[in-house]
Amino acid sequence: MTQSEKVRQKRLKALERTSSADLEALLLLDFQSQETGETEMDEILRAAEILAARQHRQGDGGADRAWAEFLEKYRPFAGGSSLYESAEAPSASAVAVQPRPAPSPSLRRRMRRLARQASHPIWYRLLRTAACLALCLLLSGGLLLTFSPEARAVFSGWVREICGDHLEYRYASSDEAAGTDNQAVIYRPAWVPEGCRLTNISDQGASVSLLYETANGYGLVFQYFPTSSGAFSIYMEGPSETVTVRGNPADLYLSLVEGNTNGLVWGDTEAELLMSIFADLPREDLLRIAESIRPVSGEQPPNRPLWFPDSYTLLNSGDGISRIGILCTNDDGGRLCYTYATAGSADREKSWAEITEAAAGLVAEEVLINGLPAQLYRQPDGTGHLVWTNPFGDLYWISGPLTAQEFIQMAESVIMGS
Amino acid sequence: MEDRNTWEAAVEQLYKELYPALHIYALRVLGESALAEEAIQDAFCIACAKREQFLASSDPRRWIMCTLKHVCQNMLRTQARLKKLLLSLDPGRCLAAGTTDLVSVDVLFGDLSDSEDFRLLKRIALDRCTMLEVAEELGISVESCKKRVQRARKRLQEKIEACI
Repeated sequence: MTQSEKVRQKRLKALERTSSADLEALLLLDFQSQETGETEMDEILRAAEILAARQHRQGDGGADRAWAEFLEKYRPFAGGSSLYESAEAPSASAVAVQPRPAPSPSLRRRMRRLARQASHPIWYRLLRTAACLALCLLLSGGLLLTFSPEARAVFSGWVREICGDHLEYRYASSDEAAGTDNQAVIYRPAWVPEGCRLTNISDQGASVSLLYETANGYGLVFQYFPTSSGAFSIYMEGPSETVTVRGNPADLYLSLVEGNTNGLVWGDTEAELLMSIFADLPREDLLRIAESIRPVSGEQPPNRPLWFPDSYTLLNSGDGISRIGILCTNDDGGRLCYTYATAGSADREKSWAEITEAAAGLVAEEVLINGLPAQLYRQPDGTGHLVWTNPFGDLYWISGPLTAQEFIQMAESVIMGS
Repeated sequence: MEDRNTWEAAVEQLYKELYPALHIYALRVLGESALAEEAIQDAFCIACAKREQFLASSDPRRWIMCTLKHVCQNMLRTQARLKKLLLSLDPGRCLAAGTTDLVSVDVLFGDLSDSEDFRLLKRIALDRCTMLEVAEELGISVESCKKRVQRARKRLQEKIEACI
């Protein structure tokens, strides 16, 4: 069995441990995507089979009845094409396809979470490790709280709730949070090891994440949580060591396996933030990064458009260390997609394959994006594809029914590279 | 004959094996059991019509699932287009409010609408009936019903454009 086959089997197996609500969210997420790859389609089919089994639909006679109806009323009269227009690819149609009924708000949240997890397995592996270590922090912190009054302040107000196979932390103190909701200020390291590159700043409201690609191609995740944040999820793994970061007690978690993710978690009493760093870096680097963290004002997130045409609203987005994906729609059902993928990543390869297929047989119009050469392709149905790279080799791709001017304006609003 | 029997037996086995999973998927995205079942029937009709392509695929189960997804998407698009067409004739939003009185419709739109065309498209777009349900109401086959829907849509579209 090849490595990729093993990974595939592992992912299919993991679906059996997934809740029915998450499986349903997965189905809806796939339905709204343009095209589904072979591996993803196998997962969708497996998810549907698991849901069917859980709902005891096997052997209920429905299949036999439906087959009889198929033979009697559909197949003899089939004209060779679908009953419902032509089986065109979703991207060729101007009419939006939304499942009926529309997903509930909680289902939409699950869909967004699953989209992020599916797109960025490395980032989520880091976050899961972070969560594991954070749980150990809590467990070991129980001892710290007993013997060290200073440590009590780090955890003061934070409560933990067990939710199935993970834990959720919430800040539940009645104390007012001071100076933590200044959204114009971003905390970021002033030092990172050579070869590390900031690829994304993701402000999800309850937390801010700065994502870096490291020299070995994995990732560094620096996150911070204001006291006004909601819940965040963690999983458990690993022991801890007490260290100090900028005068604050901190918990350092070193993986037992060399090369795996290490983590550092502490509460910054001056900023009133819970901070964490998780990366496949040695302890000295983690501590140096943490000591260098400073507030920076006016920081704009890199590698994502800061301007969108007025008629478009955000439908879905997913981002991680090596990829950012944004999907918008307008009232006419037009779809506007933005993709960013870092050089050398699997996401970049996949995106490039999709671009090659979309632009097959089309002639490119050469344009400039902030002085960088770019190619604009136009499909017969009016859908355009603007593609360019930055000096690092990162890939940028915008697709949708935009004018050339809108394409260029949107592209030039992207702050490329860091 | 033997090849045909083998083929039909294989399709029947695949149909019954996949039906529960396909129904779950289609039901979740379409919202109604009858529409979900018709989507599955349509997907297998396409498989029978494109037998060579279906047999040549690396995984027939995956092929059917992918076809079902496209059928569901096309179904929703068709309903949305027809709905848009009907509502474009109805600035007072009477149809959206559930008007079913054909006499009122005729009076409302004068000679712009053909009642039979209107009723047919309304059943598909606004009442969300399956082609089979409408076909049985009219006493025709599903394929004939599909063609009537296409012709009705074209006639209404032409009438609208003639009025602009």
